[in-house]
Amino acid sequence: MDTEALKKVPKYRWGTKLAGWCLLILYAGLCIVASVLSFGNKDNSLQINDVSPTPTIKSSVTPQILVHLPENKSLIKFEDFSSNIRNWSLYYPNGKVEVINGKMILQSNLSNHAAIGERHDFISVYENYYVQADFTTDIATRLPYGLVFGMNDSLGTYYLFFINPQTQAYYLLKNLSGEWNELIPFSRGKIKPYPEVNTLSAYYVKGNIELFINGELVASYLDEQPLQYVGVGAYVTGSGYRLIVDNFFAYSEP
Amino acid sequence: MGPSSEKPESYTAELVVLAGYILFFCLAVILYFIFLISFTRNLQKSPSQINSFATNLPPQTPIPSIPLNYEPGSLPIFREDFDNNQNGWTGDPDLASREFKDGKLYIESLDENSYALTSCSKCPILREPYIFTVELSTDQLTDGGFGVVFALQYTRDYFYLFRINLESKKYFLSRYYEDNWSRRMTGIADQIQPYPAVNKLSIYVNKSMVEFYINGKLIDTYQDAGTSFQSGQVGLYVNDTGFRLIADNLIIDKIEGK
Repeated sequence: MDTEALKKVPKYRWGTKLAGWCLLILYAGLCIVASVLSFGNKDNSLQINDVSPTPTIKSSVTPQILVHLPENKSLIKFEDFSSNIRNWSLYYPNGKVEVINGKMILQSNLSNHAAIGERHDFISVYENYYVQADFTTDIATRLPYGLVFGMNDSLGTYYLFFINPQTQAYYLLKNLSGEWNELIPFSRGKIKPYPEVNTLSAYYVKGNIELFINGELVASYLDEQPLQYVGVGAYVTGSGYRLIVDNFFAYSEP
Repeated sequence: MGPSSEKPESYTAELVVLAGYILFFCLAVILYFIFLISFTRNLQKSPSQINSFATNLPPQTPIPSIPLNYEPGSLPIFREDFDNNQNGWTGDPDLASREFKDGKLYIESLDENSYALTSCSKCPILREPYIFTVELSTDQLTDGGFGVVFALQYTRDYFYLFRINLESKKYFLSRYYEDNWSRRMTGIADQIQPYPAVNKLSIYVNKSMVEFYINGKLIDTYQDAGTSFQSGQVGLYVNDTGFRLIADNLIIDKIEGK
């Protein structure tokens, strides 16, 4: 009889044990989800803290040439866009170049149609020159934009130093009247995300081109068939955003 | 040992497991709400990631500054119905011909390598915000351009040109200064009516801002810091040879707008 009674009331039941194990797994899952979410939130809050104090254009108090300062400072041409007296013009149809509140605003009004705001006589034609400008956009965009240099607007030739803050990528292109040559392919670089300002610079010495982002050298390239002109400008790839350009520096020297 | 003396079955383990499930459910609900609240808060915070300078830019879709009840000719500074040349319309006779016929002015460019510009000696020199309206058509189908000039200063050889092309339905804004052209704006406007329709071009000028209207519809705006678009005269412009521009009902009204 005693043996039978023991058999009727087992010390533990398999169903309960299984439910208990399931519960433990569920708790473990809950802990993992909670920790993942709290980590993500921490990340977000850090990002927001990074951005929220100054979610605006950060520009240096005294704009200056970041690299390759010339010995003769009187050669430096500076455009602060307080007016458009220097006559920045639109290159390519379907766009608009304006000067508003101390910035040059460039936009294309057709998707997949580029626009350039340019000046062909900002600096004199010499074999050495330097160009630098501050760039940001009015909205976050996946489209690249960039600095134009070595431009001849009659021939339609120029170099284009392209950046894409969203993909943290830059590249150097050469346009020969509509034919694009990729001089420096898609490369990763330290590019500040929207809405921060990125300062792009190009230093050209007899076909040797050095590219800088925020004062740091990111790439150099020797063009065996260099463009011999000195037009400068800014480039937008298409419609949907406005490029904000400020503090345009350039100089050329023999 | 009878049946009454048997120990009752214990359900402690089941109760513990059940309590564990209830607790788990409660924790999961709490976690879900925490996630929901934090996600909503992040969504609210994300708009702060904007370029604050951009908020001062003019809107992408332009908003008219002129009052809705504005009627051309209601606050006239100047009116020209082109019955005759009483206002002294003039220009370079080698580059342009002018004829007054049927209450309209016919203008033709005579040199295909140059443009024809005409203005009148009695046209006012403007200094205040104004709206300038004129009805333009051509005597034949053409892909040539024509338009209106403003901020015209003969002594400085300087003006801005708002030009349209009937074939491509394109509009252009350019600046002319001492033989140099600078293109500032181009675009496409469906409001441009093809030949032989009359297109009514209007520009509202207020200091460094201009609004461009075609057939009563605002199609674009333009700003240029440091430039006073409201200083100078207005005129008419023909870009190409092979057709005559027909102008009628030119009105300049004083208007402050917004």
